Amino acid sequence: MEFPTEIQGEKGYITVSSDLDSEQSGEALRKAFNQVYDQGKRTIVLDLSQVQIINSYGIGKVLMCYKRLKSDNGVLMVKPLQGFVKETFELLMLDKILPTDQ
Amino acid sequence: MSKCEQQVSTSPSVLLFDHDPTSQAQFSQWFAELGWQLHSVGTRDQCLRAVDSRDFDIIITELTLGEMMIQSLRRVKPGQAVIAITSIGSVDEIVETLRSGATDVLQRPLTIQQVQAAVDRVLEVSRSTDRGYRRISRFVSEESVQYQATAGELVGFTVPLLPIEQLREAGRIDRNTKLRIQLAFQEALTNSIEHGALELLSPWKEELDGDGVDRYTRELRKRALDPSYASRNVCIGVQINKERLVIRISHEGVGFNSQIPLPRHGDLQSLAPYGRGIRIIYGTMDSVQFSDGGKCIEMIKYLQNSGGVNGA
Repeated sequence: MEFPTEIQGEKGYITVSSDLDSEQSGEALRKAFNQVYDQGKRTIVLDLSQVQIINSYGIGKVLMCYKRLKSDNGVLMVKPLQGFVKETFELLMLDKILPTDQ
Repeated sequence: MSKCEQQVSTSPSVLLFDHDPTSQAQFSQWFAELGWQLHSVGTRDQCLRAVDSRDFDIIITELTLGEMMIQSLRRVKPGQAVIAITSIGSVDEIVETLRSGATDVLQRPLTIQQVQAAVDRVLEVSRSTDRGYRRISRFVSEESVQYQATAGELVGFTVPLLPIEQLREAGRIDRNTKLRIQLAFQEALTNSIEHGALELLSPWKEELDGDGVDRYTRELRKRALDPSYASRNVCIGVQINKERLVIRISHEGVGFNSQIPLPRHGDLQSLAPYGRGIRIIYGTMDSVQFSDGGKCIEMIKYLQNSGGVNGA
Protein backbone atom coordinates (compact mmCIF):
# COMPACT_ATOMS: atom_id res chain seq x y z
CA MET A 1 0.00 0.00 0.00
CA GLU A 2 1.39 3.44 -0.91
CA PHE A 3 -0.04 6.91 -0.55
CA PRO A 4 0.69 9.38 -3.37
CA THR A 5 2.74 12.45 -2.50
CA GLU A 6 3.24 15.73 -4.31
CA ILE A 7 5.35 18.81 -3.82
CA GLN A 8 3.86 22.19 -4.62
CA GLY A 9 6.17 25.04 -3.75
CA GLU A 10 6.97 24.93 -0.08
CA LYS A 11 4.25 22.43 0.76
CA GLY A 12 4.21 18.68 0.55
CA TYR A 13 0.92 16.90 -0.01
CA ILE A 14 0.00 13.37 0.99
CA THR A 15 -3.18 11.76 -0.33
CA VAL A 16 -4.35 9.12 2.13
CA SER A 17 -6.12 6.76 -0.25
CA SER A 18 -7.47 4.21 2.22
CA ASP A 19 -9.00 3.98 5.67
CA LEU A 20 -6.53 4.81 8.42
CA ASP A 21 -7.23 1.93 10.76
CA SER A 22 -4.60 -0.71 10.22
CA GLU A 23 -0.90 -1.35 10.46
CA GLN A 24 -0.66 -1.34 6.66
CA SER A 25 -2.22 2.08 6.28
CA GLY A 26 -0.25 3.44 9.25
CA GLU A 27 2.97 2.21 7.67
CA ALA A 28 1.99 3.73 4.31
CA LEU A 29 1.40 7.09 6.00
CA ARG A 30 4.72 6.90 7.79
CA LYS A 31 6.58 6.20 4.53
CA ALA A 32 4.77 8.93 2.61
CA PHE A 33 5.45 11.40 5.40
CA ASN A 34 9.14 10.49 5.47
CA GLN A 35 9.30 10.85 1.70
CA VAL A 36 8.00 14.43 1.83
CA TYR A 37 9.88 15.31 5.02
CA ASP A 38 13.18 14.07 3.63
CA GLN A 39 12.72 16.46 0.70
CA GLY A 40 12.92 19.29 3.21
CA LYS A 41 9.23 20.18 3.39
CA ARG A 42 8.10 21.40 6.77
CA THR A 43 4.54 22.29 5.78
CA ILE A 44 2.79 19.06 5.00
CA VAL A 45 -0.85 18.70 4.05
CA LEU A 46 -2.86 15.51 4.50
CA ASP A 47 -5.75 14.90 2.13
CA LEU A 48 -8.13 12.64 4.06
CA SER A 49 -11.07 13.01 1.66
CA GLN A 50 -10.88 9.34 0.69
CA VAL A 51 -10.79 8.12 4.29
CA GLN A 52 -14.07 6.69 5.54
CA ILE A 53 -12.83 5.23 8.81
CA ILE A 54 -10.08 6.48 11.09
CA ASN A 55 -9.53 4.83 14.46
CA SER A 56 -7.28 5.63 17.40
CA TYR A 57 -4.40 3.85 15.71
CA GLY A 58 -4.70 6.02 12.60
CA ILE A 59 -5.09 9.16 14.68
CA GLY A 60 -1.98 8.21 16.60
CA LYS A 61 -0.06 8.02 13.33
CA VAL A 62 -1.37 11.44 12.26
CA LEU A 63 -0.31 12.89 15.60
CA MET A 64 3.17 11.40 15.28
CA CYS A 65 3.50 13.34 12.02
CA TYR A 66 2.22 16.44 13.79
CA LYS A 67 4.69 16.12 16.63
CA ARG A 68 7.64 15.50 14.35
CA LEU A 69 6.88 18.61 12.33
CA LYS A 70 6.17 20.68 15.41
CA SER A 71 9.53 19.76 16.90
CA ASP A 72 11.12 21.13 13.71
CA ASN A 73 8.97 24.33 13.68
CA GLY A 74 6.90 22.84 10.90
CA VAL A 75 3.14 22.60 10.37
CA LEU A 76 0.84 19.70 9.67
CA MET A 77 -2.33 20.71 7.87
CA VAL A 78 -5.35 18.88 6.52
CA LYS A 79 -7.55 19.39 3.49
CA PRO A 80 -11.11 20.30 4.47
CA LEU A 81 -12.54 17.40 6.44
CA GLN A 82 -15.97 15.93 5.96
CA GLY A 83 -18.33 13.26 7.21
CA PHE A 84 -17.28 10.73 9.77
CA VAL A 85 -13.61 11.76 9.80
CA LYS A 86 -14.62 15.37 10.52
CA GLU A 87 -16.84 14.22 13.38
CA THR A 88 -14.09 12.07 14.85
CA PHE A 89 -11.53 14.87 14.65
CA GLU A 90 -13.98 17.24 16.35
CA LEU A 91 -14.74 14.67 19.07
CA LEU A 92 -11.04 14.45 19.85
CA MET A 93 -10.53 18.22 19.35
CA LEU A 94 -7.92 17.60 16.70
CA ASP A 95 -9.53 20.25 14.53
CA LYS A 96 -8.10 22.76 17.03
CA ILE A 97 -4.49 21.85 16.30
CA LEU A 98 -4.54 20.91 12.62
CA PRO A 99 -5.22 23.94 10.42
CA THR A 100 -7.12 23.51 7.17
CA ASP A 101 -5.43 23.96 3.82
CA GLN A 102 -8.17 25.42 1.61
CA MET B 1 -3.75 -9.58 5.02
CA SER B 2 -6.05 -7.41 3.01
CA LYS B 3 -6.95 -9.05 -0.23
CA CYS B 4 -7.65 -5.65 -1.74
CA GLU B 5 -3.98 -4.84 -1.50
CA GLN B 6 -3.17 -7.44 -4.14
CA GLN B 7 -3.42 -6.90 -7.85
CA VAL B 8 -6.48 -9.18 -7.96
CA SER B 9 -7.32 -10.66 -11.32
CA THR B 10 -10.81 -11.69 -12.29
CA SER B 11 -9.76 -15.36 -11.84
CA PRO B 12 -9.56 -16.13 -8.14
CA SER B 13 -6.76 -18.17 -6.67
CA VAL B 14 -8.32 -20.99 -4.62
CA LEU B 15 -6.85 -23.68 -2.40
CA LEU B 16 -8.92 -26.82 -1.85
CA PHE B 17 -8.21 -28.95 1.22
CA ASP B 18 -9.98 -32.29 0.95
CA HIS B 19 -8.91 -35.87 1.72
CA ASP B 20 -11.27 -37.37 -0.83
CA PRO B 21 -9.71 -37.81 -4.29
CA THR B 22 -13.18 -38.00 -5.85
CA SER B 23 -14.12 -34.64 -4.38
CA GLN B 24 -10.80 -33.15 -5.49
CA ALA B 25 -11.41 -34.41 -9.03
CA GLN B 26 -14.94 -32.96 -9.04
CA PHE B 27 -13.70 -29.52 -7.95
CA SER B 28 -10.87 -29.66 -10.50
CA GLN B 29 -13.40 -30.30 -13.25
CA TRP B 30 -15.66 -27.46 -12.09
CA PHE B 31 -12.83 -24.99 -11.79
CA ALA B 32 -11.53 -25.94 -15.24
CA GLU B 33 -14.99 -25.21 -16.65
CA LEU B 34 -15.01 -21.87 -14.86
CA GLY B 35 -11.48 -21.03 -16.00
CA TRP B 36 -10.32 -20.54 -12.42
CA GLN B 37 -7.09 -21.59 -10.73
CA LEU B 38 -7.36 -24.42 -8.20
CA HIS B 39 -4.60 -25.85 -6.03
CA SER B 40 -5.57 -29.04 -4.19
CA VAL B 41 -4.00 -30.62 -1.11
CA GLY B 42 -4.97 -33.67 0.89
CA THR B 43 -3.26 -33.31 4.27
CA ARG B 44 -3.22 -30.69 6.99
CA ASP B 45 0.53 -30.18 6.69
CA GLN B 46 0.29 -29.70 2.93
CA CYS B 47 -2.45 -27.17 3.48
CA LEU B 48 -0.53 -25.12 6.01
CA ARG B 49 2.63 -25.23 3.88
CA ALA B 50 0.69 -24.05 0.83
CA VAL B 51 -0.90 -21.18 2.77
CA ASP B 52 2.46 -20.20 4.20
CA SER B 53 4.18 -20.20 0.82
CA ARG B 54 1.74 -18.09 -1.19
CA ASP B 55 -1.46 -16.09 -1.01
CA PHE B 56 -4.84 -17.50 -1.93
CA ASP B 57 -8.01 -15.50 -2.41
CA ILE B 58 -10.05 -18.30 -0.84
CA ILE B 59 -9.47 -21.61 0.91
CA ILE B 60 -12.16 -24.26 0.61
CA THR B 61 -12.01 -26.92 3.30
CA GLU B 62 -14.06 -29.96 4.13
CA LEU B 63 -15.55 -29.36 7.58
CA THR B 64 -15.05 -32.93 8.78
CA LEU B 65 -11.36 -32.10 8.78
CA GLY B 66 -12.11 -30.06 11.87
CA GLU B 67 -12.72 -26.56 13.13
CA MET B 68 -9.13 -26.64 14.40
CA MET B 69 -8.06 -26.49 10.76
CA ILE B 70 -9.90 -23.22 10.25
CA GLN B 71 -8.42 -21.84 13.46
CA SER B 72 -4.95 -22.98 12.39
CA LEU B 73 -5.44 -21.22 9.06
CA ARG B 74 -6.43 -18.03 10.88
CA ARG B 75 -3.24 -18.11 12.89
CA VAL B 76 -1.15 -18.32 9.74
CA LYS B 77 -3.23 -15.87 7.74
CA PRO B 78 -5.53 -13.70 9.87
CA GLY B 79 -8.34 -12.46 7.68
CA GLN B 80 -8.04 -15.36 5.19
CA ALA B 81 -11.35 -16.06 3.45
CA VAL B 82 -12.41 -19.66 4.15
CA ILE B 83 -15.38 -21.57 2.73
CA ALA B 84 -16.25 -24.68 4.73
CA ILE B 85 -18.12 -27.61 3.19
CA THR B 86 -20.33 -29.80 5.33
CA SER B 87 -22.56 -32.79 4.78
CA ILE B 88 -24.59 -32.45 7.96
CA GLY B 89 -25.69 -28.84 7.99
CA SER B 90 -27.78 -28.30 11.09
CA VAL B 91 -28.24 -24.62 11.91
CA ASP B 92 -26.26 -25.05 15.10
CA GLU B 93 -23.36 -26.62 13.26
CA ILE B 94 -23.40 -23.94 10.61
CA VAL B 95 -23.41 -21.17 13.21
CA GLU B 96 -20.60 -22.86 15.10
CA THR B 97 -18.61 -23.20 11.88
CA LEU B 98 -19.01 -19.52 11.20
CA ARG B 99 -17.97 -18.72 14.74
CA SER B 100 -14.84 -20.77 14.29
CA GLY B 101 -13.82 -18.43 11.53
CA ALA B 102 -15.33 -19.67 8.26
CA THR B 103 -16.44 -16.92 5.91
CA ASP B 104 -19.19 -19.03 4.36
CA VAL B 105 -20.56 -22.57 4.65
CA LEU B 106 -21.81 -24.83 1.86
CA GLN B 107 -23.77 -28.03 2.26
CA ARG B 108 -23.32 -31.12 0.16
CA PRO B 109 -24.44 -32.21 -2.36
CA LEU B 110 -22.95 -29.31 -4.30
CA THR B 111 -23.38 -28.05 -7.80
CA ILE B 112 -21.00 -25.98 -9.86
CA GLN B 113 -23.45 -23.09 -9.68
CA GLN B 114 -23.43 -23.14 -5.85
CA VAL B 115 -19.64 -23.22 -5.72
CA GLN B 116 -19.37 -20.39 -8.25
CA ALA B 117 -21.92 -18.28 -6.35
CA ALA B 118 -20.15 -18.84 -3.03
CA VAL B 119 -16.75 -17.95 -4.44
CA ASP B 120 -18.16 -14.84 -6.13
CA ARG B 121 -19.92 -13.82 -2.91
CA VAL B 122 -16.87 -14.27 -0.72
CA LEU B 123 -14.64 -12.50 -3.24
CA GLU B 124 -17.02 -9.56 -3.46
CA VAL B 125 -16.91 -9.11 0.31
CA SER B 126 -13.16 -9.64 0.54
CA ARG B 127 -12.49 -7.09 -2.16
CA SER B 128 -15.10 -4.54 -1.13
CA THR B 129 -12.90 -2.56 1.27
CA ASP B 130 -9.29 -2.37 2.28
CA ARG B 131 -10.26 -3.72 5.69
CA GLY B 132 -11.59 -6.98 4.14
CA TYR B 133 -15.02 -6.63 5.77
CA ARG B 134 -16.84 -9.95 5.90
CA ARG B 135 -20.53 -10.80 6.18
CA ILE B 136 -22.12 -13.83 7.78
CA SER B 137 -25.64 -12.51 7.57
CA ARG B 138 -27.33 -15.67 6.36
CA PHE B 139 -26.85 -17.71 9.49
CA VAL B 140 -26.82 -15.36 12.46
CA SER B 141 -29.81 -14.27 14.49
CA GLU B 142 -30.99 -10.77 13.67
CA GLU B 143 -31.32 -9.81 17.31
CA SER B 144 -28.19 -11.10 18.90
CA VAL B 145 -24.82 -12.40 17.98
CA GLN B 146 -22.14 -14.08 20.01
CA TYR B 147 -18.52 -14.63 19.10
CA GLN B 148 -15.68 -16.27 20.90
CA ALA B 149 -12.19 -16.47 19.50
CA THR B 150 -8.64 -16.32 20.72
CA ALA B 151 -6.71 -13.09 20.73
CA GLY B 152 -4.36 -14.46 18.08
CA GLU B 153 -7.25 -15.21 15.74
CA LEU B 154 -8.76 -11.76 16.17
CA VAL B 155 -5.65 -9.68 15.56
CA GLY B 156 -6.10 -7.92 12.24
CA PHE B 157 -9.59 -9.39 11.74
CA THR B 158 -12.62 -7.15 11.48
CA VAL B 159 -15.52 -8.68 13.37
CA PRO B 160 -18.80 -7.97 11.55
CA LEU B 161 -21.56 -6.35 13.56
CA LEU B 162 -24.68 -7.52 11.78
CA PRO B 163 -27.21 -6.11 14.24
CA ILE B 164 -25.80 -2.65 13.56
CA GLU B 165 -26.02 -3.18 9.81
CA GLN B 166 -29.64 -4.16 10.26
CA LEU B 167 -30.35 -1.10 12.40
CA ARG B 168 -28.95 1.03 9.62
CA GLU B 169 -30.92 -0.78 6.93
CA ALA B 170 -34.09 -0.41 8.99
CA GLY B 171 -33.44 3.33 9.20
CA ARG B 172 -33.17 3.32 13.00
CA ILE B 173 -29.68 4.84 12.93
CA ASP B 174 -28.06 7.00 10.31
CA ARG B 175 -24.83 6.22 8.48
CA ASN B 176 -22.56 8.29 10.69
CA THR B 177 -24.04 6.82 13.88
CA LYS B 178 -23.45 3.36 12.46
CA LEU B 179 -19.85 4.21 11.68
CA ARG B 180 -19.32 5.69 15.15
CA ILE B 181 -20.79 2.63 16.88
CA GLN B 182 -18.64 0.36 14.73
CA LEU B 183 -15.60 2.43 15.60
CA ALA B 184 -16.41 2.42 19.34
CA PHE B 185 -16.87 -1.34 19.16
CA GLN B 186 -13.59 -1.80 17.31
CA GLU B 187 -11.75 0.42 19.79
CA ALA B 188 -13.14 -1.57 22.75
CA LEU B 189 -12.28 -4.84 21.03
CA THR B 190 -8.78 -3.63 20.26
CA ASN B 191 -8.35 -2.64 23.91
CA SER B 192 -9.42 -6.11 25.02
CA ILE B 193 -7.21 -7.90 22.54
CA GLU B 194 -4.10 -5.74 22.62
CA HIS B 195 -4.02 -4.30 26.14
CA GLY B 196 -5.93 -7.08 27.86
CA ALA B 197 -5.04 -10.39 26.26
CA LEU B 198 -1.72 -9.47 24.66
CA GLU B 199 -0.75 -7.11 27.54
CA LEU B 200 0.67 -4.41 25.27
CA LEU B 201 1.44 -1.07 26.89
CA SER B 202 0.44 2.20 25.21
CA PRO B 203 3.68 4.11 26.00
CA TRP B 204 5.47 1.62 23.74
CA LYS B 205 3.95 3.45 20.78
CA GLU B 206 6.47 6.22 21.32
CA GLU B 207 9.53 3.96 21.48
CA LEU B 208 10.88 3.84 17.94
CA ASP B 209 13.68 1.67 16.65
CA GLY B 210 16.20 2.62 13.98
CA ASP B 211 13.71 1.76 11.24
CA GLY B 212 11.03 3.97 12.72
CA VAL B 213 8.94 1.00 13.89
CA ASP B 214 7.51 1.43 17.36
CA ARG B 215 7.91 -1.14 20.11
CA TYR B 216 4.14 -1.57 20.39
CA THR B 217 3.92 -2.78 16.78
CA ARG B 218 6.91 -5.09 17.18
CA GLU B 219 5.48 -6.65 20.34
CA LEU B 220 2.03 -6.95 18.74
CA ARG B 221 3.47 -9.02 15.92
CA LYS B 222 5.40 -11.25 18.32
CA ARG B 223 2.66 -11.81 20.88
CA ALA B 224 0.01 -12.49 18.23
CA LEU B 225 1.97 -15.67 17.53
CA ASP B 226 3.01 -16.46 21.12
CA PRO B 227 0.55 -19.05 22.52
CA SER B 228 0.99 -17.77 26.07
CA TYR B 229 -0.78 -14.57 24.97
CA ALA B 230 -2.47 -15.41 21.69
CA SER B 231 -4.47 -18.35 23.05
CA ARG B 232 -6.38 -16.17 25.52
CA ASN B 233 -10.07 -16.01 24.75
CA VAL B 234 -12.04 -12.92 23.82
CA CYS B 235 -15.84 -13.07 23.97
CA ILE B 236 -18.13 -10.64 22.18
CA GLY B 237 -21.87 -10.32 22.62
CA VAL B 238 -24.20 -7.95 20.80
CA GLN B 239 -27.91 -7.59 21.50
CA ILE B 240 -30.54 -5.25 20.22
CA ASN B 241 -34.13 -4.62 21.19
CA LYS B 242 -36.56 -1.80 20.63
CA GLU B 243 -34.78 0.54 22.99
CA ARG B 244 -31.12 -0.22 23.05
CA LEU B 245 -28.08 -1.78 21.52
CA VAL B 246 -25.85 -3.58 24.03
CA ILE B 247 -22.29 -4.66 23.31
CA ARG B 248 -20.29 -6.71 25.80
CA ILE B 249 -16.66 -7.68 25.36
CA SER B 250 -14.71 -9.76 27.84
CA HIS B 251 -11.23 -11.20 27.68
CA GLU B 252 -8.72 -13.35 29.49
CA GLY B 253 -5.59 -11.53 30.56
CA VAL B 254 -5.14 -8.25 32.40
CA GLY B 255 -7.94 -5.87 33.17
CA PHE B 256 -8.32 -2.39 31.67
CA ASN B 257 -7.67 0.39 34.15
CA SER B 258 -10.82 2.44 33.69
CA GLN B 259 -9.59 4.92 36.30
CA ILE B 260 -6.80 6.35 34.16
CA PRO B 261 -7.27 10.05 33.38
CA LEU B 262 -8.99 10.63 30.08
CA PRO B 263 -7.80 13.44 27.81
CA ARG B 264 -9.76 16.48 28.99
CA HIS B 265 -11.56 18.91 26.80
CA GLY B 266 -8.95 21.43 25.79
CA ASP B 267 -6.08 19.29 27.03
CA LEU B 268 -4.26 19.62 23.76
CA GLN B 269 -0.81 19.65 25.24
CA SER B 270 -1.13 16.00 26.18
CA LEU B 271 -0.53 14.51 22.79
CA ALA B 272 0.47 11.04 23.87
CA PRO B 273 -0.53 8.51 21.23
CA TYR B 274 -2.98 6.78 23.54
CA GLY B 275 -6.18 7.46 25.40
CA ARG B 276 -8.12 8.45 22.31
CA GLY B 277 -9.69 5.05 21.86
CA ILE B 278 -11.43 5.23 25.21
CA ARG B 279 -12.48 8.81 24.45
CA ILE B 280 -14.07 7.62 21.21
CA ILE B 281 -15.94 4.97 23.17
CA TYR B 282 -17.20 7.41 25.80
CA GLY B 283 -18.02 9.99 23.15
CA THR B 284 -20.19 7.58 21.18
CA MET B 285 -21.98 5.28 23.60
CA ASP B 286 -24.62 6.36 26.09
CA SER B 287 -23.40 4.07 28.85
CA VAL B 288 -20.00 2.47 29.43
CA GLN B 289 -19.40 0.12 32.36
CA PHE B 290 -16.36 -1.94 33.29
CA SER B 291 -16.51 -5.04 35.46
CA ASP B 292 -14.51 -8.11 36.43
CA GLY B 293 -11.49 -6.00 37.23
CA GLY B 294 -11.59 -4.27 33.87
CA LYS B 295 -11.75 -7.50 31.88
CA CYS B 296 -15.31 -6.91 30.78
CA ILE B 297 -16.80 -3.83 29.15
CA GLU B 298 -20.49 -3.25 28.51
CA MET B 299 -21.50 -0.43 26.17
CA ILE B 300 -25.07 0.67 25.58
CA LYS B 301 -26.46 2.88 22.85
CA TYR B 302 -30.04 3.97 23.35
CA LEU B 303 -31.63 3.90 19.98
CA GLN B 304 -33.72 7.00 20.59
CA ASN B 305 -30.69 8.99 21.83
CA SER B 306 -27.82 9.90 19.52
CA GLY B 307 -25.63 11.57 22.18
CA GLY B 308 -22.54 10.06 23.86
CA VAL B 309 -21.75 9.71 27.56
CA ASN B 310 -20.24 13.17 27.56
CA GLY B 311 -23.05 14.56 25.49
CA ALA B 312 -20.69 14.78 22.55
